[in-house]
Amino acid sequence: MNMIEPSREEKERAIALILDKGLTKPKSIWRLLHEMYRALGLRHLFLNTSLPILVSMALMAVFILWNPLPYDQYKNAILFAAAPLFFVFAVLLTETAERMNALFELKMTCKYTIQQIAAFRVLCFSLTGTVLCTLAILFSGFPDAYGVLRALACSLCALYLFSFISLSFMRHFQSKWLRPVPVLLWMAAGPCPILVFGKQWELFLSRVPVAATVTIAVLALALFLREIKMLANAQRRVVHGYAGC
Amino acid sequence: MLAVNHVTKKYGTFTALEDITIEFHSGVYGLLAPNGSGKTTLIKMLATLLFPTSGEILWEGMDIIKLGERYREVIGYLPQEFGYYKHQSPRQFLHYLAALKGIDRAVARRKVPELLELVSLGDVIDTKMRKFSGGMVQRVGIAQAMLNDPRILILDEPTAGLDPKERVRFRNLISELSRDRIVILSTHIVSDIETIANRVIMFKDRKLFCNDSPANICRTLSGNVYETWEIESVTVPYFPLTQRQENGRTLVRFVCESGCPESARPGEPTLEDVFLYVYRDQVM
Repeated sequence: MNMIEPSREEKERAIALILDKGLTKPKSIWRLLHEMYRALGLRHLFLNTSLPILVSMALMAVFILWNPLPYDQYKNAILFAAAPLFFVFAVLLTETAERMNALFELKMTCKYTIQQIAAFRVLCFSLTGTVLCTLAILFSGFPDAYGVLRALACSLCALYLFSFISLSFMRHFQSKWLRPVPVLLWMAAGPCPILVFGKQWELFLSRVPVAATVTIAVLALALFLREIKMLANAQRRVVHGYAGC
Repeated sequence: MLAVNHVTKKYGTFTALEDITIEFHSGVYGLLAPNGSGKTTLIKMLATLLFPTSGEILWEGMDIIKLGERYREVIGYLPQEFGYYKHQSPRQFLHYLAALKGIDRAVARRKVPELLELVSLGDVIDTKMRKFSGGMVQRVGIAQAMLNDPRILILDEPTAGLDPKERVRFRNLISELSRDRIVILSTHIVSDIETIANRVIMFKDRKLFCNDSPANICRTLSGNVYETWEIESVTVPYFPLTQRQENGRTLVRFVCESGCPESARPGEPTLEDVFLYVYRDQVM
């Protein structure tokens, strides 16, 4: 049977179509974030977020410096409670500002959507939180390096665990009424144990094995990064709880 | 080609649009319907801000949701409520949106002043937008929608808040921009589209009512539109359309399907007549 052989152009078009449909490798989260950084720059990525960031930093500083409890006796408990504070408020305030902005819809039709920008910001907020925790511990006057390491592991454990839980919560529960829940969670997990258990809580935190807190911190960080990846790649209908959704 | 295939959109138990099928080729498409009839819902689905409950929207044969950023790269969108940063100038604002659209900085540097000239904002390119009128802001909106030289331009109620002069200017601009691209324009203002739309799409009872050229749509009332000075004679079963003053007297336009008054003279149907007649339950 004679068959009409397709032209060279038709063959190339068919190959391009197959490649386009079948062999498109999805972008990795790091590649996407790097691409966004190069395309937008920090100025555009953090446009109109300076006030929420400053407020969050101030809240963390106020919580540590003006805490009514004697700092020397409750060092670990205060640092543990303060660790996720910047992250929680920075995410909540920037998200709220973004949602209330009349540009929200328009931004969602652009190549880089608000949710991808939110993923970049959330990652930066966790890094900033890490730096702030480290600085707070370094200036807390721990007597030895082991004490510093213990407090750092404990604080980062709280920060990453809390970052993971709050992002995961927001992804699974999409109602706008549930947006302040991360703040309530922070209150429940941070200041409340100090008020309820008092000195016992401080004692517990100062004796918990470093290996345990480091392990939990590493696991929580891995889970948190996985959440960020899901945020950047998620379909918009899935992530109503995040900025830009 | 952009194809809307049997799309239905429901919000809970409320159906906003039902089984809509439309094909868009190059040209200006006017979505004409009263407020609350589903225009914005369709526009938002085309802009990937909403997802169909059932059915699909295809761009060159591929689902726009699956295309993701590859589809967003070919659209330009002007929302009904266009927000902007008041502390920015049009140049800064357009550079910001160009970055969000993934446009190369060198290309943006060339394109931004060109577009602002095109929308007649060249002389205020570095003025803060807090001083701008509604019309000027809307023109910034049109410029931003054109940044990526989109193959699909989606404009939701773009003339809202514009004065008559700005509206005319806008129409001319859209006509200019509509070459070799799909322009989808939603409005409830008939005069916005009757002169520039190649096709007019109307919805009724949440379904597609018609998708045709303005001339063909007007033809549906051909022979049924009349005018008379005797206002009192225009009663049921006639349907009054519009009134206008001529030489100090009131001339009434109405639809008459049979047995017209002798004093009435036939008139040429307009898109506005069809709009008023089709949506008589909603408009009057």
